[in-house]
Amino acid sequence: MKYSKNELLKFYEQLVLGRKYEEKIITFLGKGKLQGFFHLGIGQEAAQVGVVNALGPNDYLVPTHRFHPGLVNKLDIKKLTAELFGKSSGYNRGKAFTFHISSKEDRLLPVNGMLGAGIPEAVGYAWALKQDNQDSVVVCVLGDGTASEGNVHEGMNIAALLNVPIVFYIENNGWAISCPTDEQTKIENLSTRALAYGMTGETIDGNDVIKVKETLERAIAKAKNGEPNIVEAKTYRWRGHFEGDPGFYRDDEKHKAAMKDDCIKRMENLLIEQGASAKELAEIADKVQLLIDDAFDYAEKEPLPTPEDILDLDQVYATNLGGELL
Amino acid sequence: MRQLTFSQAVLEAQMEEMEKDQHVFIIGEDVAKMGSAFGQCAGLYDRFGPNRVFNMPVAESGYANFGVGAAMAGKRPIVEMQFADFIVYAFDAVGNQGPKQRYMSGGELSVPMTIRAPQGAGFGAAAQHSQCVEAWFMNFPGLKIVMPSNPHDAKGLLKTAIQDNDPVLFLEHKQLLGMKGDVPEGEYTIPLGQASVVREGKDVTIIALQAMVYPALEAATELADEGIDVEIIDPRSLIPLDKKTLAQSVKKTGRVIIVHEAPKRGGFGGEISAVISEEFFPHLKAPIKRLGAANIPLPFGMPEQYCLPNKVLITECVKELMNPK
Repeated sequence: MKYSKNELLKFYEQLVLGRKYEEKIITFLGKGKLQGFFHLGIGQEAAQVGVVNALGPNDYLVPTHRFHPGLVNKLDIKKLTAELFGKSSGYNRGKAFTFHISSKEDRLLPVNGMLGAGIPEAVGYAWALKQDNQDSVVVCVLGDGTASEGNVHEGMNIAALLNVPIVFYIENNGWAISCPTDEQTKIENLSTRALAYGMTGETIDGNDVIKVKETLERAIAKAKNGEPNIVEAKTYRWRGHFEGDPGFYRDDEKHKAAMKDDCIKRMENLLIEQGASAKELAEIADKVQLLIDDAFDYAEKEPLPTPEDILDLDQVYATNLGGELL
Repeated sequence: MRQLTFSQAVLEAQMEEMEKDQHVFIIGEDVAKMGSAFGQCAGLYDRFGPNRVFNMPVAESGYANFGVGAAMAGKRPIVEMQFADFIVYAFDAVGNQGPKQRYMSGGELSVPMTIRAPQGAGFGAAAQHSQCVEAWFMNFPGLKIVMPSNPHDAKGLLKTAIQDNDPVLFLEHKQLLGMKGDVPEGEYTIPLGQASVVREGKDVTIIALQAMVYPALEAATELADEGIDVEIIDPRSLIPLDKKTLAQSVKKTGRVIIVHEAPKRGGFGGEISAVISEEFFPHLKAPIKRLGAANIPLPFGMPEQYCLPNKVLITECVKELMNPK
């Protein structure tokens, strides 16, 4: 095994943090304490944690609306949770939610509410980094559903033409809301589309956190070298499209079978092979739970933005000409 | 004074801003060696090279969003639409992406992007190459909209737009691009949100957008012979809108006509009319009149003139206001 037990335990902790964080969201939604539409990535933790671990200190990430497990492992958990509660101490003063969250300091580019639009935006951002001789790559995450948007085609084509340092990471969870992949496309692997743009692409097992991390590291190195490329990670969406979606469009048997491939169980098995004890794993889960509970307690108590903050024109316009002119 | 065409004024504004700030760059269809469809970028590729002026594939949405991304990274893109009509492909980028990033990030990001788009009739180019599009974008908070009517204003306002830290939709008018006018030597800027009083008068205010300034001026000259004194105001920017200059004029004349080339229904005239009714109603001596294009797709060729406001319609409208039946 290439990784030490401690390194594997770290992966395990990150995966469990992602899972338990979203389970906490479900609890709070049940209590009516969260607003907005939540799209959860339970089951997809490895596909997200792997990416977060592959990023270098200069690299940028564009997440999706279904990326809490990744975000909670990249950002400050309290500030993230405050943003989910719409509180003014959140990353974007409570204005972003997970639909638009961004953080300059953390090199996190905005999530986009318009599926696909973020792809050519990420290409533009990556092009600008290259112009400024930054040693950076943008990893732009999109789902299998988004892959059908025209903007994705336009953005990938432009990236290839301009040799932009970007990795298009397709987190394929098998479902675009109620439509399975075979209702979205005739092709088996979305990464084969790379050929159409003169790029390379590969499809991997998205439930293998180590595989995801290592593949992304290679993809990032390639992009840094002026070769944009596509990585598709195949995983599976356990929950409905949004929390509250009963998911009656799915076949129960197939659904249950797909959920048997659990990225966390896989890591547990690997750890036990490497000599970890059940007690060690339970302690990690407890530690993570405390961290999450603490963040939710904090966020719940934080103040909402004031009406003045919400209506602040300086947050609408950077060059504010003032008053009713706007 | 030195005379330049509108197109040359646009070119000069871009050249000066590109000389000053290395973050300014231009993308669009055929902007490089061809120098744009109407010459607005002629020679810029040779002067600034392929990293500052480059062609994009025929993908308006893709490259406008590319501009949004580059702007968030600190660049100052000038994104050219070959025809303003094509902006529907980039509607999301221009209205929904660029203008909202700042607010959605809690004020952390900004998008200093200028979208240039030549609009308008005059070439008989039919329903998808002739439209005026300003009204399409009035409902997007975070966007600024500029539409100059002459070379002098075009240069000064475009320089301001490029220096502005927010997305600015800069609408050129195809029929005006070849028009010559006074443009002083040297640098100057014109602030957004300052209307221009094109002609002073005391009887009727005509608020004319872009190309409509010219038939309004012709009408005013004729009406002067009949003793009717027309004031013409060109708002120059729609967001921000100079309500102060509009108010001064309305208070003086008490009679208002708004004329634009875009279809009357849902046009910017409705917004100006509503602002005046809400805020300056006591000063009105007559109902506000609006003139715009007929609510039909513009036809091919010469017949487009049957659909657009012109000198005769403006003159009749003024007379109707002065002598109500």
